[in-house]
Formats: sequence, C-alpha cells, structure tokens
Amino acid sequence: MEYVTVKYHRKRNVFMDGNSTGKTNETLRIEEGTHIFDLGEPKNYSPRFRRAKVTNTTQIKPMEIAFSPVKEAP
Amino acid sequence: MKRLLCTICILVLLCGCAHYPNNLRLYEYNKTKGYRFDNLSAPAGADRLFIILTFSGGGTRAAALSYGVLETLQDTRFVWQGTERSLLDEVDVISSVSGGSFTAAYYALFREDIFKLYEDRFLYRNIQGELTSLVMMPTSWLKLLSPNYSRTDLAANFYDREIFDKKRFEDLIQLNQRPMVIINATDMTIGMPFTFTQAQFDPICSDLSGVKVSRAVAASSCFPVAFAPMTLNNYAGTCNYREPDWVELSIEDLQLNPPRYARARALQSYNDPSGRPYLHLLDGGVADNIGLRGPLTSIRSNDPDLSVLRRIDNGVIDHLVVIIVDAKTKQVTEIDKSPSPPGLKTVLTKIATVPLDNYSFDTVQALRDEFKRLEADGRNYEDCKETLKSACPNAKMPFDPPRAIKLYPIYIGFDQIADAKERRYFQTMDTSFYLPDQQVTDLRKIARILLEKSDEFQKLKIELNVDGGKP
Repeated sequence: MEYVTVKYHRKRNVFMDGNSTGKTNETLRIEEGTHIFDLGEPKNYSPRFRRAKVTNTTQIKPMEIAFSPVKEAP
Repeated sequence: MKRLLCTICILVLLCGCAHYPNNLRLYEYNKTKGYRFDNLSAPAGADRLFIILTFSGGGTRAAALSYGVLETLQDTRFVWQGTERSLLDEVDVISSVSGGSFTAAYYALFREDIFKLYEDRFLYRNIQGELTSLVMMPTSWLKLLSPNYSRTDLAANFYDREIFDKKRFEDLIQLNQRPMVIINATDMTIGMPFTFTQAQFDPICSDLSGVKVSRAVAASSCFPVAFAPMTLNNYAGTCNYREPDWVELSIEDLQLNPPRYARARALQSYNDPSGRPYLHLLDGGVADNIGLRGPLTSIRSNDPDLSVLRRIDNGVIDHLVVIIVDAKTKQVTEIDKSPSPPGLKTVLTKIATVPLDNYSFDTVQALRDEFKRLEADGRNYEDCKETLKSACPNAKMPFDPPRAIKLYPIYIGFDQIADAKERRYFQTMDTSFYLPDQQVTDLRKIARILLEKSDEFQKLKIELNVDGGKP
C-alpha cells in the first residue's frame, strides 16, 4: 500500500489511471507502481497530467503530486 | 436391416456433430453495458456497509455450507438507514468457485426464493447420480463422440434444465440488483482465474449476456479429469476494445510490483486471436479454491473494474466485511503407519490437493495482513501526531490521515470446530455432488454456529445494533 496527496488550491476530484479516485488534498491509498494523475474536467490546471512511480511512501509522508490552476483559453 | 443401419449412421453423424454453444461475439465494446458491478443499481449509501462473500469449492459440501451462511445472514436483521434489513440484503458481491458457485448463482438469480426451492433442486438431490446416469445414456455417448462436445457441456446442459431454468447473464443484468456474483473458473493456459464478468469478456470481444449461467457454473466446477475443460471462442480485435490505462502503465512495474505486471500480462494474453483463438477453462479451484484472490486484489488495487480500494479512497465505504466460507477437508491418512512408500493414487491425490490448500491458507492470511495494514494506518498517524504534540505542542501534522474504515474479516472453516470428533466428521465428508441428507443438514447448522461464534461477526452485529447490540 502506498500513499499519495494530490495538491490543488481547492477541493476537486482526483483521477488516477482514468478512474475517479478520491479528492485533492486528502491522503489517498493506492497500489504501488506507475500511475497517471489528473483532475478531470474542466482542464483548468497545469500540468494536464502527472505520471509518477509511487513507491516507498508512508501515511505520515505521502508522495505529493501538485497541480496549479490556470485560466482556460476563451 | 439396411434401413436400420442407415438410421444408426445418420444418428451417429448428427450426434457426432454436437458442438458446445458458442459464446456470442461482442460487436462494440461499451463500459456502460454488460454485467459489471457499476452497472447494477443500488440505493444511495449502499456502499456504506460493503459486504463480500466468498464461497469455496467442495461439491455439495461447499454448496450446503455456503447456503447455511446465506440462511444465517437472512435471519440477522437490523435497522440500517431507517429501514429494517437483513444482512443478506446488504451483500454486495459473491465470489465463488466450483460447488460454491451453485449456491452463489442460484441466489443471484432467484434471490429469496433460494430458501424455498434450492434444497429440493440441488442440495438434497443426488446430482452426482443423475449426472452419472446421463453419461450412461446412449444419446449422450453419441454426443460425446464429437470432439467439440464434452462431459462438461453435458453437465452444463443438465444444470441449465434442472437447476437454473435456462437463465442467462442477460437475466442478471435485467434483475439489476446486487449482489454481483463473480463465478470463477481457471484459464488453463495462463493458470489464472477467469471470471464470468463482462470486464473479463471484453478483451475477447465476447458478449457475456448471452451466456447461460449454467455454463459459468459448469466451467467453475469442471474438476480436472472427471470433467473436460470448457471451451470459449476468442474474438479479440473485433469490438474496438480499449485496454484500461493501468495495463500499459503496469508493464513498467515488473521489478516494482510483479503481481500488477502479471495481471496486465494476463489481460494482454487474450489480445492474440491468432495465437489463442480458443480459451480452455478448468475448475476455478485450480487457480484459487476459495474465490478470494479477486476480492483481495480489489482491496489492494485501484486497477480492477470493481476496486474496493478506489471506493475507500472515494469515501463511500464505512464498514468492509469479507466472509470467507471454506469447505476445505482434511482426509485422514494412514500412510505414515507403513514403511512402504504411498502408492501412485495417494501421491497424485496429495499433489492435486496439498498445494491448493496451502495456497488458500496463504490467501486468507494475505487478506488478514491487508486488513491489519489498513487498520494500522489510523493508529500510526495518531501515534505520530501524539509524539509530535509532545515534542512541539504547537506543531500541526502536514497531512490528514487516510480515510478510516471499519474492517471485519470473517473466516468460516471446519478447522475452527473445537470438538475433535465433530471437526473430523466435517473434515472427512466426501467431495461429490451428492451427500446424505443428514450431512447436508449438519453443514447448514455448522455454518450458522461458526458464523455466530466468530468474534468479528459479533463485532459487526454490535456495530449494527443487531438484537439491540447484545453479543
């Protein structure tokens, strides 16, 4: 079992490997391995996705995956 | 005379052309259709109390023991979200193997009617004798002359007619209710579980809805040698199937997470219609005789179509209950009383059963370890928080803890019977599709006793305020 916190300035859904998997800024339990994280729609965040090899984490020190807000192009 | 010979020849030719029913092609892959957990409707908050049952193999012995568990759950009533319910109403998933698949499939199809019909239709019936008589019939011999028709197809036909009322998976889709029944067979080429779910049929571009439930049960219970493997056609590459994202990602995880890598490789093995135009399925017990590997993976991994871990992350599960019903026996052996080495039959029997039993034991232990890890999450976090507070009273933990859930691993098996004589009585029962009536009744009774004796089950009852919360 591994632990990840997806950082974003507000609460929204987290998608991991294409599936809805918890919320931002929460400690999520995930299986060890390579995963792709994004925040789904709307795509008003950067980067569009993050790919991470998640291993050697603990619930006290989860891996941080950060996204920041961007304005959508009109 | 000529006419008679001619008639016999025609009969032989016709019957010799007997063919297993082809599984249908799926024309367009669509995740919103088919027999999948997410496609079954459930009332709001249904996941708060998430119950998984696993039913092992073991012929009528396993079917009766699992039936006894269903009876006990049906009689365990409590008020949940404002309405009176039984624990059986709250079961979300049943994963079954071989003999246990009869009870699981029957309940999924006929719901509470199982308590009116199943005893006569299966449990107290000499299915073994009827199957033997069927094989002895000349019409069956003629059918069995065909290379594309086996004793397993004959048995499936019998189960279809006599037990499952010709129901197909389409009927389970139309019922649109939990529990989802996951019937496990074994893919004999890759040696891994093969489940009768649309998620498993997607890579072979086949539509599960047209498959008879009896065929799934027959595949799940086609014990090697006694029954022939069951064949499925592989239509991979014809339905615009899209591999789940995790499959490609996990190919990188060979060193990091070999089980994830192996699951991905197994799934990809179906996408080879020229190398594997047909699949051959054996008894589910060959890969996992207690039906727990699938649920265990769904608790450990976010990857499967039905991932319990993903549901935990999504905060929809408060209580997770796994009830393992294991009808494992322990045959008495005299081999150590003699200096002569055991004969071939004994050796073959041991080879066939000992590794499976050890594997089942390890799987149950793996589930217990997984639950301990999940429980330790909250404890470790609180311990750390306390330590931090004592050292730096104003410091705050930088992260929230993972979501807390309450866990109830419940194991029902004969080795938990305290009385040695009684334990031996159950552990030496035959593995067959016939048991004397008294044994069937005793199995139903012991299932209730063992479930009620389980500390975890009592903990669950107190939590749910069953009988006013009294143990």
